[in-house]
Amino acid sequence: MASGVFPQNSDSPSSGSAIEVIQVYKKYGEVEALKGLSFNLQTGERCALLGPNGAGKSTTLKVLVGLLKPDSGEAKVGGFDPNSTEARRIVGYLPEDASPYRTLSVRENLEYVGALRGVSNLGERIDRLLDVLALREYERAKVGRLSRGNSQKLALALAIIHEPNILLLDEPLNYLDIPTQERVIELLNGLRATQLVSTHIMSVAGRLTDRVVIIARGGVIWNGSIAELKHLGKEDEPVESIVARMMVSAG
Amino acid sequence: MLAKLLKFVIFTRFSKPLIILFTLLTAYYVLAARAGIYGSATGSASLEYLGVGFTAVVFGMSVIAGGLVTLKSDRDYLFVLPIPRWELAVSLYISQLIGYGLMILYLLGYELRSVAGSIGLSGAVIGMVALALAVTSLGPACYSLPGKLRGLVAVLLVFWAISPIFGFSYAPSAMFVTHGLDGMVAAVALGVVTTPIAFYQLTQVELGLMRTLVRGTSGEVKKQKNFIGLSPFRAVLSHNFSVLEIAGRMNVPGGGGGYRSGRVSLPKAMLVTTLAAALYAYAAYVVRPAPSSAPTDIVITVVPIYLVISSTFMSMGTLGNERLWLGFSAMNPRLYMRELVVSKALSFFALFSPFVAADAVLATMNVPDALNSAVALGFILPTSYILTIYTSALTRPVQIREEITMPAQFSLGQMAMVLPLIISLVLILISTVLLAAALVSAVLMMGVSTYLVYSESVCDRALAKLVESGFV
Repeated sequence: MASGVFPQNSDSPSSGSAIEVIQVYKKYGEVEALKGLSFNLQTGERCALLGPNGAGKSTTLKVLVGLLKPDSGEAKVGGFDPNSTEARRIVGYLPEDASPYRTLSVRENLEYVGALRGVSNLGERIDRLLDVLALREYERAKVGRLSRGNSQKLALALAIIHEPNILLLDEPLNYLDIPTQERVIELLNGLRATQLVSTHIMSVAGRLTDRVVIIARGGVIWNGSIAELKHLGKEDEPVESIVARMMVSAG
Repeated sequence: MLAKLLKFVIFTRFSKPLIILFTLLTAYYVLAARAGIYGSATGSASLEYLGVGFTAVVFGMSVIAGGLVTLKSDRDYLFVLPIPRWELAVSLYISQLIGYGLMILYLLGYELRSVAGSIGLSGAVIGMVALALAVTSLGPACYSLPGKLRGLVAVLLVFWAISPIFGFSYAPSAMFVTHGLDGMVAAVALGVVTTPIAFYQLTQVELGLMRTLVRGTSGEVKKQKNFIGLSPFRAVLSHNFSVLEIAGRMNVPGGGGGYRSGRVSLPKAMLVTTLAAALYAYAAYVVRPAPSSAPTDIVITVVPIYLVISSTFMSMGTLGNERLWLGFSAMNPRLYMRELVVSKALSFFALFSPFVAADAVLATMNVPDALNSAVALGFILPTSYILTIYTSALTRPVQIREEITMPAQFSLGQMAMVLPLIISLVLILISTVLLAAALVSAVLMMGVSTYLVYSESVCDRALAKLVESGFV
């Protein structure tokens, strides 16, 4: 996938921090999901958010996309408050287990969300995405009848239909078969957007990103490049083993 | 083994507080009926119409929106266990009975004394139990039928249920219209036919579910909607106003069942409501009381009640089908929520507007209370929808991920949706007999709805609740 196929939205700053999370706390009732979480991503950076179940990865993404408000602390995307119109314009979000509108067809979903976002040349973009993600034959299919894999591909198309500068992806390769995973990896690597990818799987992080933020119990326990992470282990020690050790020692 | 399985099945479908509430309610109704302090021994025309109407609504809803009280996890774990099929069927049937059959006790229990007046207490109890079993069985018996056939069955059953009004006595609802024996026999016949089918379906539940789910895999949307070139506001309006998403989940009376959804274009749906409104106008005009004999027109008093109940059922899919990560993330979420709810309320108003028009015509023909009914229907129906949506969003919203199976366990919190329904029913009842009450109710409901739709703090709280409830 050539990087020019989905050019960058022109609304966001071209340099500086694309994502800033500063001392964010978030509670669900009595459960503390985020406890002073802090990290940032520079424009154009691709970073994996790694962590065990319940670490706060999905909550972090929901805060960054404006679906959750932090109890305290600050989050910014492209220098804007996640709840602002400016932020919504430049952010693309794919949640875990994403489910598009069930009663609409694949094409209707893309047209509807494109219209909500005020995307120009919408027809052209939809045609391109349908071809790139091999969804053309399901164009008229009702989403409720799609397989999980095709539904995930549509969800990804919906997340990038407005060519976002900042892409927040929660387990983007879930439910995809291996050829489709390769196709999606190629697509994502061809985008110029800043990407924060939440995943459990180190190999996914390695294929899609070059930096890792490891979180556990709502806080950052390690932050650095994948190369630096590998240096923390013994010779030939798999990187998964290093990450597991860090997570266990973090409690 | 059966006792353990039964306990497991019941408590995974219904929360403990809800089971306690059901037990208390059931005990109260049974004791009150035994003591003879519940319902009317003599009956009245209004009670007869209510009995017939409730039977029709419950039949229709059980077939269209009902289904199996099964969870997705049943398909993944429970159904693959080496459990005797009959034990599984019995456990599921009893859960269905709690979900559906108890509705008969709660909605029609007040009819017991008047039915007993014509066929004796034993006959009345047999008739009501048979009706409860039939209603319990309709969901499992019909859930695997193709949509159009299920619709046809529902229409036939509804017509059968209302036929006693036109003098046909061999219908279960005839029990409530002075044909106690014929009605009891019809109820027993329906129970005898549907219960074995339901049991058979429940013994084959995993195969039936798979067959039903797989059947739709080639489903295509024939008439595609075009959103290209529309502004965000027009896109929301186009999606939510012109296409009616019929969705149903029987959790208002506490009963549970699978969710069903389907798309019908508003003009097509309005054709049906126009026909129904014409029938309504005819019935209201023909059976209207002479001004000296009674102050109200029974049809005009009773029909709006069913319209409010139907609109509440139909509103359930609005939030359940919504996707936070799409609509709410693409636009300002407060604006999106407002446009979504207003579009849907307008859609509901359009859908039921033929009834308002029928009332206006009846008013010009001096039919008593028609003007009140027009005001009540025109204002209370769409605003009641808004009240229901926000109550659901602020209490225990449930997102729909998959059809047929239950999206979540039924809990006491979901019963909060009954509150706006009760408020609307009371307002409708008062409004149809008193114009001043209709006007005050309209202003009140419009005021509350406008506050809910425009209040930023309410919207923020609703959104936070949706996210916390696992909506994506």
